[in-house]
Amino acid sequence: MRRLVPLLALIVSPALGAELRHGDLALVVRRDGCGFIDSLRFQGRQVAAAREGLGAATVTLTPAGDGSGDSLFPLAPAATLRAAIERLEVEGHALVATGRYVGEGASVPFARRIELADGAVVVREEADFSRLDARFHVAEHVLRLPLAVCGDEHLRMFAFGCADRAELFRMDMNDIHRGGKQLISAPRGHWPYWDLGGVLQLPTSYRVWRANHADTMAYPVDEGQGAPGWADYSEVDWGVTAVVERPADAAPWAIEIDARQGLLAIAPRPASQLPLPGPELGRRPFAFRLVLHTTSWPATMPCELPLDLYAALLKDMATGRDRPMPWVLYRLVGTAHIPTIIHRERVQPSTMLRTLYRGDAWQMQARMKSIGRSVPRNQPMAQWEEAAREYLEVIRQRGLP
Amino acid sequence: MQPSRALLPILLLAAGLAAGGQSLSLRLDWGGAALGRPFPVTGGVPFARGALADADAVRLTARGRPLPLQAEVLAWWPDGSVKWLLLDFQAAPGLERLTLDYGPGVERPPARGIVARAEADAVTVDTGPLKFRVREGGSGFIDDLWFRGTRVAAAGEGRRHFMDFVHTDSPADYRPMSRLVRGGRPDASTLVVDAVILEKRGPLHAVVRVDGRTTYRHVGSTIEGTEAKGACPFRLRLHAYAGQSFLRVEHFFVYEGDGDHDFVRALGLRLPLPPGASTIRFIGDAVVRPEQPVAGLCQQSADDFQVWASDGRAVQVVHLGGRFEGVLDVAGEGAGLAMGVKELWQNHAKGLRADLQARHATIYLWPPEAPPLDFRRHAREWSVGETGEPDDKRSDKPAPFRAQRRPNYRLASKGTGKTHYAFIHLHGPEEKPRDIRALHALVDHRPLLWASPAHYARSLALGRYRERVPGEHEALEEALDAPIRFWRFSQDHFRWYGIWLYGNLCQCINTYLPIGRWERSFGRWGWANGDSMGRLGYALVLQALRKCERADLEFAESYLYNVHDVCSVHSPAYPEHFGSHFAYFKGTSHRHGAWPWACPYTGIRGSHPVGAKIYYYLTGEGHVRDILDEVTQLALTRPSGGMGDGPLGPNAQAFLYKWETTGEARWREKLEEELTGSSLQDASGGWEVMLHAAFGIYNALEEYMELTGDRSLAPLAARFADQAMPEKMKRHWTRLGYYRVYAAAYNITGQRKYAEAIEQMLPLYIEEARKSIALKLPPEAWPGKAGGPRFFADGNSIRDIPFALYALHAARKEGQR
Repeated sequence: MRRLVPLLALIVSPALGAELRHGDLALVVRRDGCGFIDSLRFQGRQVAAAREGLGAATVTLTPAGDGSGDSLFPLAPAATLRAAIERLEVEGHALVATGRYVGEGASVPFARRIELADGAVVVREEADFSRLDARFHVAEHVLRLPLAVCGDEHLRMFAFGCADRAELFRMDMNDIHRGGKQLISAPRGHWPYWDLGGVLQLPTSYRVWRANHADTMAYPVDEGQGAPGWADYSEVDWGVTAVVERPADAAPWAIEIDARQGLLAIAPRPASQLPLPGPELGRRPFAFRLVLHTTSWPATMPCELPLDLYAALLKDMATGRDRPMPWVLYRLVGTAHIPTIIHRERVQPSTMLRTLYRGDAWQMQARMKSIGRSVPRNQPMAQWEEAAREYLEVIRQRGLP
Repeated sequence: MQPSRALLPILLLAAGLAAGGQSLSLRLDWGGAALGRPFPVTGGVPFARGALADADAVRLTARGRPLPLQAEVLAWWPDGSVKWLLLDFQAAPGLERLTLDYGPGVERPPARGIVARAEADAVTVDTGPLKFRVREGGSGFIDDLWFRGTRVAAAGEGRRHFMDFVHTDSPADYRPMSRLVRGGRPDASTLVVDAVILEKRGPLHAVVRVDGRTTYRHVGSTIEGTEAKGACPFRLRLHAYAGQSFLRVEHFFVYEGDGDHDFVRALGLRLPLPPGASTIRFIGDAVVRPEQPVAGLCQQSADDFQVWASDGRAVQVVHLGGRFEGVLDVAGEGAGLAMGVKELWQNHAKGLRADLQARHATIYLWPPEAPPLDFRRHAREWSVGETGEPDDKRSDKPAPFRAQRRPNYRLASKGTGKTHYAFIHLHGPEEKPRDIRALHALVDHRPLLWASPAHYARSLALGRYRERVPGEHEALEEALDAPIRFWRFSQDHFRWYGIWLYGNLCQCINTYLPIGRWERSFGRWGWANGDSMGRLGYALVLQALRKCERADLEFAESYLYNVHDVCSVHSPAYPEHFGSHFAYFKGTSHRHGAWPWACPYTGIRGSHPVGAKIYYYLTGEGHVRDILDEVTQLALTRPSGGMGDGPLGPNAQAFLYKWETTGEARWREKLEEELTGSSLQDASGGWEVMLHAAFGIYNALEEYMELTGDRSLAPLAARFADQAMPEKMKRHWTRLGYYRVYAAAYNITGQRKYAEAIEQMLPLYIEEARKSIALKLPPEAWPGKAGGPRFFADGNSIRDIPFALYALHAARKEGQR
C-alpha cells in the first residue's frame, strides 16, 4: 500500500520563527536562531540542528586594495558577517526569510526562500553584494547545516559526483581488509581518516578533494570538465544529498562536508576564490536542494537493484556449488560481510559482477544459462557488459533464478 | 653517374667533408610551431666509439649550406672519442632535414653572436638586440637590462625575485581549500645571492647561473634539531641566444620550512616595464586587453583561468578561459615586454601580472590569487603500506605518528623542490601577437633534434638495445607501448596536474578497490614517485628514443622532473624516518606514497639516475646535470643511498655517469670498487637476484666490461645470470625482471642458453600485459568501468626488453652463420 503523504503544515509565529512540514520532512527556522535552518527532522529523526556559537550563514570579507597591485589579495579576513533574519513570511508552500549579513559596520542584504518539495528542502538564496562597503572584498559566502552524525566513524560516509561516476569514501575505512600482495602493513589497511571532503566547481571544471583533518592539506581526488553538481553525506539508514541547481552557470561554488564536526557547508562564493568587490558580484542568486534519503546510497546514485535483491545476489555469488565461497567477496572487496558491501562500500551490483568475472566468461556463462541465454567464453569486454546488463535486467524483473 | 676517383677529393672539400669524414642525417621536430624567423635549437647526438675524436670536427648543414654551430661534449668514450655532443644552432621552423658531417678533416665556419663577460662582481651578456647584467649582491634575477641599446631596467629598482611566505602559529589557521589564513604572519623573503656564474659563453647560446637563498624571519623557526632550516636555496639559469631578444629562464627552489607552519604566498620573477609600454594584453587563443592599470591572469586549475583587472583597489574579472597557453605582453610605441611560463596550466596555480602604476610585470610561479602553497603532509596517520609501519599493525584504528618516534612527520616536505621554465621577450612595436605567441610556444615545447632511432641504438652510447623497427615484434612492442599510452591518457583524463603532481603517475586501477579509477591515496601503490613502478624514468625516455616521438619524450620529461624535483629531498638535513635525527639524504627520493613526500622512506632507488642521464644527453639541461651531480654526491656521502639501495646499482650508475662526462680515471676506479665490492657474487633467490637486476648493478657490470674490455668479471656475470634463469624464476613473482640479465649475459659470454631464456620468457610478458586494462579495453573504452580489468606495467621490464631484443637478434644472426 502506498504511504499517504501528509499535507503541508505551516505554522508561523512572527516573533519566534516558522516550522515547515511536508511528508517526512519538518523544518524550523527561527528569527533569532542560527541564521539558516535551525532544525531539520526526517521521518521523525533529527538530522540537523543549530549549534550554539556556530554561524550557520556567514559572509567573510577581506580588505580592499590600498591602491597598489600587491595589496589586492590579502589572506587574512577582515570581518565575518553573520546572517540576521529580519523578516519571515509565507509564500504559498514556501518560507521566505529576508535579512542582512552584518558585522564590522558592513552589511549584505539577502532574501532566502525555503520550501519542501518531493522529499527535499529547496533553498534559493540571493545575497545582494552590490552596495557592500568599498573598504571590503567578499572572500566567502557560506550556508552551513549542522548534521546530527552518529557516533561510529566507520558509518560516516561521503559521496561526490564526478564526470562519469561518483567518488565514495568513508571517514574511517579501516574496518575492512584491503587485500593484495606486498602490503607492508597488512593485515590492516591503516587508511588515514578522511574527516573532510568537498567539491569545488569552477566555470568549466570541478575538483573533488578530501582532507585528513581540518588542519591538513586538501588532497585532490578527482578533477575533470563538467559540473556534476552534487555531494552527499550518508549513514547506513539515512543521508542527505546536496544538489546545486544549474551547477555550471552558478560556478564558482563549493560544497564541503566535515564528517568529524558534522557540518554540511554550501558556499555560493567559495573561500578558495579571489576576493571580489561587492559591486563586481552584485546580486547573486544561488539555489540548491537537500534531498533526504533512507539508505546510504546518494539520491543521485541509487543502487541498480532493490537492496534485498542485491543481498540475495551477493549471497548467491558467495555460494559455491559444493561449499560456501565467502572468500570470493573477501578477495574482491576486502569483506564477505554483505551488509558492509551494500550499505558502507556501496559497490554497485554491476561492479560486483564485473569485479568477480573481470571479463572471464565462464561464470557468467552459468549465470546467463540460468536465465536462458547462452554467451560465448572469453568474449570482448563490451560484449560481456552487454550480457551483464541483460542479466541484471532479468533478475530485476523476475528475481534471482 | 659516379664521380671519378680523381674528382672525389675536390668534391669532398667543396662539401667541407674531407676523406674519412662521415655524415649523419638529423631531423628537426618543431611540434607544429609556425614562426617566420630562426629559432635556437639545442640537442644532443651520440656517436659510436671512435667515430669522432675531435669535437671541433663537426659541421651542420641545411640544404647544402653550413649553419653556425656551437658544440659541447657532454660525454666521452674511454678512448677519448666523443660519446655525446650537444649542438646549439638556429634554424627556421619548417626546416626539417639537416646533415651533420663529422670526423677527420671536417671543418666548420666560426660562429659569432653573443658577447659574454664575467667580471669580478657581475656577468654581462649581449645577444645583439638584448643585453643584460646579473650582479653578485644583486636582485637574484636580471639587474640591468637593455633592449636595442635603450636601458629597460637598472639595478636597485625594487624586488625582482621573491618567494614570500605566510607563517602560522597553528596549521588549523589554514583550512584546506581556502585561501583565508587566520592570524598568519606575512614573511617576505630577503634574497641573498651566493654566486653568479657564466656557465656557458656562447657564441650562440650563453647561460648565466645564479645561486642563492631566500631568507626569512619566521620560516623554519619551529624546526628543532638542525641549523639547516628556513633559508630556501634557489638556482636560476638565464639562457640567452645570439641575435635573439628573448631569454629562457630556469628557476629551481628548495623548501626548507615546516610543512605545518610555512606556506608560500607568492613566488615571482619581476621586471620593470620598458619605457612607454602601456597596453596590457594576454595573448592566448584570444587576445584579452584589460582596460585597467593593473591586470593579471591566474590559472587556478588545469581547466580554468581568469583574467582580472584592477585600479589597485577593486578587482574585476574580465575574462574566463580554460587552459592558457600564451603570454602576458605589455606593449607600447617603443619596446614591449612579454612573459610566459612553460606548461603553465599543467603546473597550476600560476599567474602573470602587469602593473602600469608600479611599472613592472611579474611571472608568478605561485600567484597570490591562489590559496597559499601547501606543504603539509596529507595525513597525520600512516597510509596503507608506507615504509616504517605503524606500531600496532593489527589495530583497526588509523595509526597516528607517535610523537616519541616520529616527531617530525610534519617535516615530510622539507627539501622538496620544483623547477619551472619561464620566458621573457623584449620586442619592438612591429612584433605581432601571433609571433610573440609562436616564440613562446617554441619555449613551451622546444624544437627537438632527432637522429634516427637506429642511430641512437647502433651508436651503443646507451648500451646494446634494439630500436623500434616497424613490423617487428609487434605484439611485444604493443605490450610495451600500451601502458605508456594508457598513462598518457590518464594524465589528462584524471588531471594529474598541478605544481606537485604534474609528471607523477599512479599505478593501480581496480586492484584493491573496485572503483574504476587510479587508487592514488593508497600509500604503497598510490603515486609511483620513481620507485614503485621500477626504473620508470629510464624506461620512458628509452622508449621515446626507440621511436623518436615527441609525445613520449615530453611525457618522460614531465615524469623525470617530478621524480627528481618534487619527490626528492634537496635538503642537506632531513629527519630520518620522520624521527628527531637529521641526516644527509640530499639526492634521495621518497619511495612511494599517497603524496609525493608522504613516505618516510627516502632512498636513492627512487632517484635512480639513468633516465635523467639520457635526458641530459639529449637536451644538455643544466638542472638535470645538477640532479645527476646531487645523486652522485649522495653516492659518495652516503653510500647506502639512504636506505641501503645504493650498492645495488644507483651508486655504480652515478659513477658511470661521472666517468663518461668527465673522463677522469677516479670515477672509473669508484665504479670498479662498487662492482667488485658488490653482493652480485652472493645473490640468490628471487628477491635478492631481482633487486640486483632491478636497481642496475648488473647493468653497470655489463657496461663496465663493455667500456673497459675487462673480461675478469665474466665469470661473475655468468654466475649471477645463472641465478636468474627461467628454470629457477619462471614461477617466481619476479619472473619478468630478468630480461636484461639474460641479454647482458649473452653479450658477455656468447652462450646461447641466455638467448633461449629470452625466447622463453618474452611471451610471459605479452601474456601478462594482455590482461591489463590498456590492452584488454580498446582506447575508446578507456578508462573502463569500476571493477573492470586491472592495470599492468612494470618499469623494469619496459626498460629491459629492448636490451633483450638486441641480444635475441644478435643470437639469431650468430645462429645463421
